Amino acid sequence: MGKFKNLLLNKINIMLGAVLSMLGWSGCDEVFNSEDLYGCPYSYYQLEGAVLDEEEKPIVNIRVATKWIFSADDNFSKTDTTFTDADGRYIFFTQDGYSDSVHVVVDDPQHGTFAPDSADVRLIHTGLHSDETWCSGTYVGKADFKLKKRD
Amino acid sequence: MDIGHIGLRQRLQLEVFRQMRHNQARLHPLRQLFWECTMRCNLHCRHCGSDCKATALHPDMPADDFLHAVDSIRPHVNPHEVMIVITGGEPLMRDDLADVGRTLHDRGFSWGIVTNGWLLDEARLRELLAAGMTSLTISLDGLRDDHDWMRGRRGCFDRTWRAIKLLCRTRGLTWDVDTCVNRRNFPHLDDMRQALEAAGVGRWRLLTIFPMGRAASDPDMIVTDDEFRALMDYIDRQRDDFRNGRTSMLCYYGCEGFLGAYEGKTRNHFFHCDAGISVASVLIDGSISACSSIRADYHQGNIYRDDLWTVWQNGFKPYRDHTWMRRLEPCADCKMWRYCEGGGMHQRGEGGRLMLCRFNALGE
Repeated sequence: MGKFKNLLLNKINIMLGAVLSMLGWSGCDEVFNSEDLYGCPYSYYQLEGAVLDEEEKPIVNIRVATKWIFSADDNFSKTDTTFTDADGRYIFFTQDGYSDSVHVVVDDPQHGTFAPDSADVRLIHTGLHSDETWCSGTYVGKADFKLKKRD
Repeated sequence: MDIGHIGLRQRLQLEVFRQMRHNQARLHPLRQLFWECTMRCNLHCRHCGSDCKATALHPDMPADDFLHAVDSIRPHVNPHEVMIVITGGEPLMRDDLADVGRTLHDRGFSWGIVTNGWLLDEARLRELLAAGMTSLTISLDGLRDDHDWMRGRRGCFDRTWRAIKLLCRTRGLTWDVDTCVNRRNFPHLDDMRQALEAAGVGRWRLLTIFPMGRAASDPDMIVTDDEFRALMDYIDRQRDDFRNGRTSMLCYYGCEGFLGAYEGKTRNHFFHCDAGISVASVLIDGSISACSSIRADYHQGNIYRDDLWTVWQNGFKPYRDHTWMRRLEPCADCKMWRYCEGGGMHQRGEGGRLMLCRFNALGE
């Protein structure tokens, strides 16, 4: 079946799930999880940091890209991108299967003023969520960068 | 409760869910992959549908063969959304179980096992958790006498109970106790419930036995219709206690059969058969099926001959479209067909005959 059709059917099922909720069905998140024992664990991930120049001033609107590694052979990963805010800060939130590290790359493709930098960040487990069956908790990481200007 | 009387709201819910179910069949996202990794078993359960022996006539499937099949589906799925459930026989009979589990985990898959608990001690559990196991079902069919009787080996209860106490102390694992309700343990269910709650068990799944395998010729295995209805009422009450905070143990019925007015009361979901829709299995001889209790007539291929993903995408037609069941009794005239659609695939015997209709059992 085509991707578009799949997407449409999934959206329809989400809407129908909402209708079920309105009809008083409280188990919508487990509508098709026929035995919730056979679901898949997931975790929440938070990564944040600051990007500064050599004078410790925040760099605004610089690109920060992440690659979350989800399998030991690096064959399954997820990428995400954001830009620093007015304070030179960035933050990522995501939810997925197990990962304990993320590769972060900071670069400046727009202006080319700063040389890129990268780091592998170890994520720290902060504890379990008690009310979600398959949630393995939250992992957090922090990575600050100090970029050098290109010559 | 009048089993055939479905109130307006419940009927609307069932209609909405019916459409969702049909959409899901079209989508058929693979979410659980069962692996029948061995036919060896250290018990001799009265109800076993498998022909398990301690050594087994069929050798264990080499791990690499299964992993090869898993690799064939990997490019097409998000491994984080696929749970691989390792069954048997008794999976703990395999010495390489942790190695296989670690490999699955490294490939991004979640995995779990179904076990009788005899071989589950602290060291083994620690090894499996370190290998990434996230899910486990342990079977307990009663307190001491009832369980040992059912499992065919003295001392089984003590070993299983020890494993359950260990699991109650373990974090980071989603697990439940499953109980096959039969004529012998039915009167003692509440004693069992109390013991499980006191031990700290959080989830208790109650199953009824199907007339296949050894159970087919054992009258003690199959509860009467009155007992089945009483079981539904019992589970309904337990779930009400859970919702109202009177117990911390969630109780639910297994996946078998449409339950009429009990729909939404005894399970976390409405009845649907996920076989071939989100569930596939690789059996001991490489056969591709859905659940291991489904007859060989409905096997869809073999991993030693076919590509698992291709079979998943293009096969499983009788699983995804049940209209062929409508032509067979008792479904032909059944007023609940819309919501049941022939029950589960494992309920189909020779020629597609429905071996047992739970809805009818409740109504008689």
